[in-house]
Amino acid sequence: MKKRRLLTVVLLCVSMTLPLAGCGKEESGGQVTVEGPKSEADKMKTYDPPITLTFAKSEVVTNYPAGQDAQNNAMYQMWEDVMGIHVENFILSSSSAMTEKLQLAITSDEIPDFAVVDAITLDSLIKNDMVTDMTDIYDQWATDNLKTVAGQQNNALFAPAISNGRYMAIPVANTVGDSYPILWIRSDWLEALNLEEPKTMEEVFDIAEKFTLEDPDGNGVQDTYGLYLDKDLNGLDAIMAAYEVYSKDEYWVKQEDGSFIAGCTSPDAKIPLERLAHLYEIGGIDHEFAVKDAAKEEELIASGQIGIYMGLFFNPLGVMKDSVVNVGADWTAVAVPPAEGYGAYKPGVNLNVYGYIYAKKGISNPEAIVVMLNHLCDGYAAPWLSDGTSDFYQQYTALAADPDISKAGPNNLMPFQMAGNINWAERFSEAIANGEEHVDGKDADYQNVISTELPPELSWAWKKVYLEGYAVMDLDNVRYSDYTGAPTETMSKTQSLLNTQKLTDYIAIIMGDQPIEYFDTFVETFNSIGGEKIGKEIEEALK
Amino acid sequence: MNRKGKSYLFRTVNVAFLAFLAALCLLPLIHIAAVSFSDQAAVSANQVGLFPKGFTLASYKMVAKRGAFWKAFGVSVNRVILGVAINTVITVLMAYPLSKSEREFPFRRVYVWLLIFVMIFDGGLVPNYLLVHNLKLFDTIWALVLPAAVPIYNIILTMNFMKQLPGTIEEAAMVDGAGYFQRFVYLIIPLSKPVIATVTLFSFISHWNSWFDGKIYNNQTTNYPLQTYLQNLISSSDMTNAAEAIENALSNVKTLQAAQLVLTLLPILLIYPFLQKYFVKGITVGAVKG
Repeated sequence: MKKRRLLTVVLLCVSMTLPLAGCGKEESGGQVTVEGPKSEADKMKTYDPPITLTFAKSEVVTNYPAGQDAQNNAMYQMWEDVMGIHVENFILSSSSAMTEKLQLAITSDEIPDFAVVDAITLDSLIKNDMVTDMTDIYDQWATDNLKTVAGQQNNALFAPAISNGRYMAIPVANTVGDSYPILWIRSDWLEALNLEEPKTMEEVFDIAEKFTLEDPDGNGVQDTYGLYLDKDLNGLDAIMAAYEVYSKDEYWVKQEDGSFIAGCTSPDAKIPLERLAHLYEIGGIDHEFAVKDAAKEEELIASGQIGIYMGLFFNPLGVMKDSVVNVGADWTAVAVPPAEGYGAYKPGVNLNVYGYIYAKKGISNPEAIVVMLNHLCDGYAAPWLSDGTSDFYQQYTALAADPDISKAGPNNLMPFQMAGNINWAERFSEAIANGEEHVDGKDADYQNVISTELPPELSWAWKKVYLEGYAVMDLDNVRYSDYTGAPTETMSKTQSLLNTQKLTDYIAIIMGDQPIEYFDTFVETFNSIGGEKIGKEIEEALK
Repeated sequence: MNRKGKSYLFRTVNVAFLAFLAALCLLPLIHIAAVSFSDQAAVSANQVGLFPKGFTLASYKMVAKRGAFWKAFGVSVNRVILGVAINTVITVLMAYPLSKSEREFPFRRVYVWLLIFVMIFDGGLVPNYLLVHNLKLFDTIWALVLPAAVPIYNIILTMNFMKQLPGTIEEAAMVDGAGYFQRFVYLIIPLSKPVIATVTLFSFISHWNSWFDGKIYNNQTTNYPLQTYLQNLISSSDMTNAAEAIENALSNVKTLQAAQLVLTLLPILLIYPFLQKYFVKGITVGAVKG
C-alpha cells in the first residue's frame, strides 16, 4: 500500500512536470466533420471495412482462457465481427495504475484514440485540448436506449464531462449497486443472543454493544467486536447517511441559503460520532483500528470476531466466506436503517460510472465511440429497454456461456463494460423458483449461484450476494453530491489535505482522544484550510 | 580468568545479537513460505505463523497455470541475461583503463570525476522518461537494459581492485611484448575473477529486483518483468471495484501472492551460495587496498 502510494506520488510529480519539459505540440487539426447517421439502423452499424481504434485497457482478469490474452481473445474478436471495430490495446495496465499511465501519456502527447478515464484525467485531457467535442455527435448518433442510460437522472452523470456547456466525453454508466451500502450482520450471533434485525441505526449500535459484551460466540472470553472499522473509516459514510450526514470525501451539500458545505462538517455528525466513541470505549471496535488498513482489519472478520460490517453486495465473496470456513459463521444482509427522527435511508454515492469515454481530437471516426456504446446499451446493459435480439447481445450471451470465458469473466475480457441499474435479486430468485437454467445478461454469475460443484463456502457466498445482498438495495433512492462538476481550483490543491483532516479528527473523536465538542474545532479548521473557499468556488461555478 | 570470562561474555552477546539479526531477515521469508502452503481461510484470519496451516499445494498449482506469471518470469530471465552481460562487459572495459595512472592515461582523473558526478546527480526521472520515450524503447527489453547499462559503483569497485594488482606482473608481460589488450585479456581478467564475480552478482540482483523501470517504461502489462508483475499484483487489490473484488476473492489472493513471491526468490537463493566465496574476497581485497 505504502509502495503504491509512493509510486502514485512519484508518477504524479512526473506528469506534473512533464509539460514544463517542453512538449505538448498537439497538431492543430480542428474538429473533424462527422455526418449524422443515415438511418436508425446506422446507429448500430458494422463498419465495413473494419476500422482500428487504439485504446487504454484496464486489466482486471489476469488468468485468461488458454491461448487468449488481453488483445487476442474471443470478446475482442466479437467486437470486431459485430461492430467492425478493431480495438488495439495501446496501453494495457492494471486499473490501479491506469490514471498514472494516462497522465504520462497525456504529457508525452501520445494518447490512445479512445479510453474510459476518470474525471480528473478527463479534466486534464480537456484542458490540453486533446478530445473531440461530443455534443453533436452524441445527439445525432446515440440511440434512445443510450440516451436513457447515459442520460439517467437528467444527465447527472455528464457533469464532470461538461466544459463551457459542451459534452467533451460520454459517461459509461455503471450500476448504482456497486456502491450501495449494505449492513452485513452475523445472523448466528443475532440468534445466539435472541436479537431482532435492527429497524433503526440506534438499534444497530445497541446490537453492536451486545455483540461486544454478551459473548455471542459463547466461548466465555470477551474477544468479540461489535462493529468493523479500519484506518480509512470504510463503512462510516454509510452509518452517517442514516443521520442525513454525507461524510464521503469530496461530497458537497447545498444549504438552504444556497451556500455549499462539505458533508462531513454537518453538525448532525456528532450523534453517530458520540455513539462510536462510546462503542470504542467499551471495546466494541478493535482498539488498533486506526493503524490497520482494510486487508489487515478484515482478518478479524475472517477469524469470526466481528459482528457488524457496513459493506457492499459482493463482500461475502471476500473474507466473509473465510469466516464461514473458520468458525461456521453465517451472515445476513439488512437494508441500512435510518436513525430515529430522520427520513428514509438515502445513501450518498459517487456518480455511478465506470468512467468517461473520450474520442481523441482529430481521429476520423469519433462517432464510432457512440456506435460502440449503442451496441452495448441494448440487451446487454439495458435489458429492460430492449427485446434482446441485438447482434451484440446474442453473440455476447453465446460467448459468456462458454465455461472458459465465464470463468475469466466475460465482462472483463471486453475492452470496457457498461451496466444499467438492475436489481438482480428478483430476477435470480424467480429464475431459481422456476428452475431456469440460464439468466440472460448475468448468466456467468447465475451459474455460480445455482452450481452444486463449488466448495460450500463459495456456493454460500454467491447465494448471499445475489439473493440477499442485492435484495436489500433500493437503487432508485440514492443521493449524489450536490456538486459533481470538474474540480475547482482550491479543490485540486487542497482536497487531499481536507480528506486527511477529516480522517484524523474523526478518528481522534472516536478513540476518545478528543471530546465530542472538538467537532466544532474540526469544522473550523476544515473550513479555514480550504473548505469554505471551495464552497464559494462551487457557488461561483454553478452560477 | 577475568579476561576469559569477558571474551566469553562478548561472544555470547555477539552471537545472540547476530542470531537476532539473522532471524529478523529469515522469519519473514519463512512466514511467506508458510502462507504459500496454507489454506486460504486460515491465512485471511491471520492464523498462519511460521508453519503452514491446512497444508495445500493449491496455490502452486494455480501459479503453474498462470500464463502471465511465467511470461513475466521469462522477461526477467531475458533481462538478467542481457543486462548482466552488458553490465559486465562495460564494467571491465571501463575499469581497466581507469585503473591506470595519470601518466599512462591522461585526464584519467577527469573521467573518474565525471563518473562519480553522474553517480550522485543523475538526470532525474522526467528526462529519463522522455529520453526512453523518444528513443522508442518503450515496451522493449532494451528499456530495461540500456538505461542501466553503465553500473558506476561496480566500475569503481573493479577499478580499485585492478589498481591494487601488483604492477610488476604487467611490466613483465610488457617486457615480453604484450600490448595493453593482450595484457588485459590474458592477465588482468583472470586475476580479477573475484571482483568480476562480485559485480556480476550485484548486477544480477539489481536486474532481478528492480520493478520501477518496468512499470514506467512499459505500456503493456505483458511486457512487465517479474518484479513489476508482482508489485502490480500486490498493490492492485482495489476493493471498491466490484468486478475486481470478485475476481480477487475467487483467486485466493493472499496465498497465491505468497506462492509467487516464493517462486521469485528461488533463483536468487540458488545463485548466492555459488558466488558467495568470490563475494567476500572481491569486496574486501578491493576496498582495503584501494
